[in-house]
Amino acid sequence: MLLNAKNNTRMQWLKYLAWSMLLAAFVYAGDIKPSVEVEFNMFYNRNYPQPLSFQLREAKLFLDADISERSAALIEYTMKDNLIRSQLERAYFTQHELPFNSQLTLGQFRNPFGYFDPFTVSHSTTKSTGLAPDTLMPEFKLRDLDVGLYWESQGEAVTFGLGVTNGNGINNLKDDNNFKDFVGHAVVSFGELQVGVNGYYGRKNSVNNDGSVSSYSSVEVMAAGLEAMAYVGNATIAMEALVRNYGTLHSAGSYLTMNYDLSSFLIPTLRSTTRLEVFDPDTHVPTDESVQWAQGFLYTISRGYLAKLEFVLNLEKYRRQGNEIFFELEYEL
Amino acid sequence: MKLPLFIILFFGCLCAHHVLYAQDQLPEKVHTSIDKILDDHLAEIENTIIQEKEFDARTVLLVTVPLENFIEDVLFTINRPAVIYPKVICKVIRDQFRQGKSREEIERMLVTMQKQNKFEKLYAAERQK
Repeated sequence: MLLNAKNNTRMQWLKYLAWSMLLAAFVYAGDIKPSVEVEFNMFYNRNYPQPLSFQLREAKLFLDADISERSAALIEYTMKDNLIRSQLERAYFTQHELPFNSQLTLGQFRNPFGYFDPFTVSHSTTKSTGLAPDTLMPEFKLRDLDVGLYWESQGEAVTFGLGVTNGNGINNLKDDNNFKDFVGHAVVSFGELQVGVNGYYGRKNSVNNDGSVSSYSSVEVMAAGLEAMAYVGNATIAMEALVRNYGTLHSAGSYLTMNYDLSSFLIPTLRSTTRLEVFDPDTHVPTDESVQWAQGFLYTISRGYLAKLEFVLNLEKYRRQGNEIFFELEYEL
Repeated sequence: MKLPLFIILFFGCLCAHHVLYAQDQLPEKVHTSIDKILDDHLAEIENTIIQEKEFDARTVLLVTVPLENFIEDVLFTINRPAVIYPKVICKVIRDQFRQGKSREEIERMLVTMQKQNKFEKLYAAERQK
């Protein structure tokens, strides 16, 4: 017991030391850019006890540093849920302009698996819902943040990248998984059209009946996606279809999004974002699919002020009660 | 001291440092995959032109928003970093305003130039001089 307490204290000090060293590197970096973003949210859902609610959804602190002409580092610290929950979101070091026009990223970053749309208020199911078939299973999120390293080569016609991560999610800086997860992404460009594939393969420690993690057996997780993106005039259209397996659980989903810049013919700095999404969390269960349509408008009021209005409609009959309206004001310092 | 408090204090100090010792010059080249940081750099370009007082501030303000939206849609959705060339972009905007182009024309032009990788080509040409 005493030994454990001693180890914990030592670990805490080591953690502070690591942080101090990372931050010291930022201080000595050539150009440091700190910035802050606060998101104030108003939403309406008639099923909630208070249908009209306000929340301070997120506050983000960024620290971006150009260490040299070819290397950079970033720390993103987020406070969520009325600023109660805080976490280190991203912390990574990137070396640019390596051979084959490539770059290497080390640290905690978002998985380079398919598309991720950070510009909507609501989060889409296909992209952010964790696959946790029951409470004993650890969550498996695609496009989640993870610790590892990622190499990407970016060419005029072909871009591809490979990543190796711990696979145990955000802020698990120490690997609690006996296996490594691999992420791959390749895109071919034909003028204003890009077509790509992405894949994820890993093994997670399985969970014993008492909830403890087993070191002896594992669950295989894999996902594959097909993606396409085109920019036509003022619109950017993206679509993706993906399947994923978590042990014996199979799920599938697809979505189509269109971001349209309305600046030139309606109101300057107004943008529309539309998303239609289908998600089946378990392909063996016939009644659990969801079809969701989200329509949003983003308006840049001035530098630093952004207003977002979004309607989320559940098109499945038995889910229509869950329709929501969001209004969000984003302030950037 | 709790770690979150430590981080917030550190950010505070660095913000103060940044405000006190901010550099006036626009950077030549910036890599980023964070929308907020892209926004900061593009705002800085607009501010640089506004401070020169050659053009109407209301016309210049937010002229880079369509370019920002395009970069976010095409690159950040796939977690790919964007490379922007603030000095080159600033020069292009200034030149276009001087030629009497309208704000809408400049907005569209910036997006087209980004699509065709023209900022990078201009940057390379400048470096070769």
